[in-house]
Amino acid sequence: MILRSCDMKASIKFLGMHRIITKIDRLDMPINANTSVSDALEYTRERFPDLPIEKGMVIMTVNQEVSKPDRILRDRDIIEFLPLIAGG
Amino acid sequence: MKIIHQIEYTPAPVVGGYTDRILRVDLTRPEITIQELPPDFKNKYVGGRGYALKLIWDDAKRTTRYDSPENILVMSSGPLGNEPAFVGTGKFIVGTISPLTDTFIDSNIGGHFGPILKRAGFDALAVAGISKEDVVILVDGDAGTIAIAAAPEYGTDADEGALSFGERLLEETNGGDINDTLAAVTAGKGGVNSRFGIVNSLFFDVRRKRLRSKQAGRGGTGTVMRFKGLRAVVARSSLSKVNANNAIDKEGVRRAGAALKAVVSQCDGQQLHLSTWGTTGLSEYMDKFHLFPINNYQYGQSPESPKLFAQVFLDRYFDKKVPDGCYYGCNLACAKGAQNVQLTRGPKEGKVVDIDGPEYETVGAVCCMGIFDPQFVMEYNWYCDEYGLDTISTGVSISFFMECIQRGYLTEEDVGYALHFGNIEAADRLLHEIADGRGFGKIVGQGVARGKKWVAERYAAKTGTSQDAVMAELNKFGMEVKGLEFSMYITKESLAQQGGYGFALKGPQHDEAWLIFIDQVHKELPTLEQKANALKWFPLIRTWFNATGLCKLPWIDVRNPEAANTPEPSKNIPTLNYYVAYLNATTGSNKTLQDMLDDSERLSVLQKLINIRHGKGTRANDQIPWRAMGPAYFNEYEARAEYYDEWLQQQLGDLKMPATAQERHTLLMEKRVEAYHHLCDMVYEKKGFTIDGIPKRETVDKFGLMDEQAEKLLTQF
Repeated sequence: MILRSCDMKASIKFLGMHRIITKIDRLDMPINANTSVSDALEYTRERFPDLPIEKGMVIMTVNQEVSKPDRILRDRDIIEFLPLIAGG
Repeated sequence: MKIIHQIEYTPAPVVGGYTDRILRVDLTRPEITIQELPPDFKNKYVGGRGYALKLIWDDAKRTTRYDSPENILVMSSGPLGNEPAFVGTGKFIVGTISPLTDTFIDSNIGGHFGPILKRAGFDALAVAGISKEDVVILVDGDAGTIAIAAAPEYGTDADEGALSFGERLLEETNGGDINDTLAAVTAGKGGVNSRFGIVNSLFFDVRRKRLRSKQAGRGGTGTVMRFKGLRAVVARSSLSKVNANNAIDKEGVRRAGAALKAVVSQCDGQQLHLSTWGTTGLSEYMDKFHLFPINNYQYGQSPESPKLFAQVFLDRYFDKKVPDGCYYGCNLACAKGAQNVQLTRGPKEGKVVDIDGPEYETVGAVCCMGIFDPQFVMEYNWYCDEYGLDTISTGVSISFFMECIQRGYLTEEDVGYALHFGNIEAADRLLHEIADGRGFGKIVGQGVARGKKWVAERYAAKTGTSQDAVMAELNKFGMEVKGLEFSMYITKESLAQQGGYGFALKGPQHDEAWLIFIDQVHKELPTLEQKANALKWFPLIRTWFNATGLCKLPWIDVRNPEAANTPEPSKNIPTLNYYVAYLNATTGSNKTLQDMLDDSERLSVLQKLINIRHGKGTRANDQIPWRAMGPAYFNEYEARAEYYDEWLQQQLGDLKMPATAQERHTLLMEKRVEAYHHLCDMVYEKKGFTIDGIPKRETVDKFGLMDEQAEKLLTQF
């Protein structure tokens, strides 16, 4: 995936075990007018191939709202991967 | 040990998950009897919670309270507990009339006791009466004896501790060496001195080669146990754990178990990582979504919260090399524990202890007191277990009194020390006072519902304010419903979970419904009708787990990837299908998932009838504190003013927003209260209840529950 360098960026925040695996809290990602959540997923996979973020295993949120893969990202959006918490 | 009464018996074999026998003990007489169950009993009441409900429906009456001789303490697994080929099968429930709610309570608990009791020949143990002296019950399936013995004395240190006493008792019972053929349940001095005493389940962990414990925490079951004069029950059986349920279709059990184990093995490491850090992993996500119950549920998030995230406990305390299942065959293995932790506070300061936990709920209880110290979490966990206190009710009760000081309803002089949010020394001191029944602990140990009355009387007398006016304020932030303290989730922004707590028959414990993420984060329940449907469906399937002897976590907290292709992924139906197969293979039945839900609904309606009988079954009893519906006080509103204003604007549509923040706060709370009442209407309709929350006659008839007592009860409405 090739992303044009520009001033806009989104951030992928890592929580819980994802933070332990990546050893970072957040990953900044340059975006353009067409960058989608799906691109963010790919961007993350390229950098952290061992990160368990398969479909059905996590939900993706943008600014704390569950989001579909085709959602277009805006400047300073925060993307997070959350486990499917359903209560013990 | 001094034997007071003993009988000999031949253990009944387990067939298809049942022995069809209940062990009845009357501690007043004292008397031990074995009740043979008719064939239709299990078909109608399933096991676990269902057995406890039926026994209490029949034997207790309207006036029965926790300390009445006729109150029964029931311990019962279910047909599907006791099977290492499946996942999470060590559960049993403890059910009784609660000292907190004055109606039926049950609390589920892991460990080996339920399975061993079954192998020793009993589907349930039911203890009635009150002993004149402290006793223990010994159920020895190997020797074929059941005895009531005088509680042995091991010295003050051991005798006062639920864990210490249990360990000494098991050693004595087994000739000095503890192994996994026996297990015990115990209750400590916290049960004597408070209304929220717990029952500990002690079992020998062959991997760690030490005793471990799990807890039936909610509702004061340990208080009932100690009031009966019962210190402990030991069960023993050397019968094989393999195929212990004597399933009708053993290959079917193996197949269902293998399928579920494969899902758990594949998915937990990609989802919640329960096998790595237990339920403490939830803390970070709760904080992220403003659900962490900080300062008595005032704020859901804090910059200090990371001190209580899972990695802290993993790095500093948890043993990372040993799988931590609470029963054989469970590959979810979430029962985390720590070894060799030195206590830095309290009467046992300096002692090095092994700690089982913490669970998320205990972490939540500590942040509820405004404390963010992981060492305190560990010590609070250990002391509560050793004293036999519920970590949730203890924390929420202390937090309530902290807020009474914050809002001026109490002073430091009333308490005797600075009981402020975040004051570790004060919280620690109060914990020990509750356990000992001394000082301010005598008041706090009565729980939030009774605490509110105490504060209202005192404040009204001091200020000349009417008690009703004070109670109205205390009801806003006293976090209890039906007399039970809330478990550790903020519900302000999830209407569905407000119902999950409000309609929970035992009081606000999330084991009947936990819908926060589905509702608030996933947005899967956008309409009132969808929320109401979820508030019917989830409590029913969760009830089924509590009736069958199973842990819910392998179903609800490990999402089967196949679920993503179903209409309602959150129900995790592909995994539930393994449970249907497991049930049918074990018992020889041919039930569908809907049949299981119908069985649960029968139990749910029966529990509702018991609540009505005990004065806790109407719409009024399902009402929740303002704090559970939204920002009860202006400081809470201010903390997230932008968010709340946006929410209010969405509700108002084109209507103009009030000009001042105070007006907006007031209007927001009016909207929240209104929404909860609409939810009540819709949920009652879905459940076949009247607008007042009473089951309609046809609902009771439908499940074959219209006996003479039900008939008489319903004529009052």
